[in-house]
Amino acid sequence: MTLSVVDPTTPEPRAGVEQTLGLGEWAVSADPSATLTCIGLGSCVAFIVYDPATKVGGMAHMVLPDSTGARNTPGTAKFVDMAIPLVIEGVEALGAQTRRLRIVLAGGATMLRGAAFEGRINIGDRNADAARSLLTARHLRIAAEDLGGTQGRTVRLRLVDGSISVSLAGQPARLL
Amino acid sequence: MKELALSRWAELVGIGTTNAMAGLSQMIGQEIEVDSFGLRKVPVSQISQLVGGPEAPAVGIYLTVSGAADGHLMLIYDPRIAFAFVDLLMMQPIGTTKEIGEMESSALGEMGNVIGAFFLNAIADHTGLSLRPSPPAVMADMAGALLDVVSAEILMHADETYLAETTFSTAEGVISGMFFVMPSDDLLSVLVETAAAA
Repeated sequence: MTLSVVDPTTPEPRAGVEQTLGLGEWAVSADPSATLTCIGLGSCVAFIVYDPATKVGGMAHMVLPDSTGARNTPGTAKFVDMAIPLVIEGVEALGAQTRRLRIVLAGGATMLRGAAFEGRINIGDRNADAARSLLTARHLRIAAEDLGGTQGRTVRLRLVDGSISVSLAGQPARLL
Repeated sequence: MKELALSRWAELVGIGTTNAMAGLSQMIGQEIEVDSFGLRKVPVSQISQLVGGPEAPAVGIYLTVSGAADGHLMLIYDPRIAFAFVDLLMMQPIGTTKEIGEMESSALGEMGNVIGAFFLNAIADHTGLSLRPSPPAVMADMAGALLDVVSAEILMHADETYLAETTFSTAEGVISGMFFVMPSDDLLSVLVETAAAA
């Protein structure tokens, strides 16, 4: 897979451009006109950070809880345990301070319902739990979360003011 | 995957798909023709582009496979196609169904049962493997969210998958659509090994 990972050493996205992150992608930016977006999150979880003082923000589209024993691609945000450190280091490199970060989690829905799928490992819950535990272990407070449920979500971070909006299919967006 | 093994797998999926379409024809009482069949290697992160992008509304029918190998099958339709299928299944004029509620889900679930059973039976007949489908789950949501169900599992082991893509239509042109088969890694290797040994 060619990951269009935007790391801090690559040029900033063009002014006003919305940058959509696919599965396992992450981005950080210091461009106040940028919007970072994850579209159609099902069991995936978006990790979102924003430093209001510097207007630096970052986002990762995380797919799975743990990279242990999995096929590993360096620099990917596929796994929660790899994505969170990448994004935090990425925003720090752009001047953000970890203690100022507003941290938000969204996604982690249960897409499969029905008797046939009960007892099956719930990836959405596991992603959410993995992200919460990792943040707790690093003494990082979650400012807001919109996790679980049975519907997909689209989430956007506008760097101009740090507003984070989340919307379900066919419904208006609300702020987190 | 070696090219020969891949072509044998394509052949098996082709046989399964043709049989699944025959089952669907019987179920909806309309002749269904397979217009094209193709197999492509796609990055998992790009699959949603094939169904109109991650935010496009979609209806998905998902079932797991157990037996000789564990795997899963997923059908994804544009909601208009899914609505038309519901109308055919419930013997009502095309255009009647406008949303997926409990009754519509149940009709599409029945369709998933038939497609899954016909698909797997054809492959079982051809390979001697015993493969059983689970009852299906029917979901209506953004395409990206539906695809997470299969993508997460594939991404554990690989960044790309082999997607079998069938376009079909009814003789009267009432419905045309796409039928995707996304095998899990395990199912794919068992099918290929069996095909290679045959």
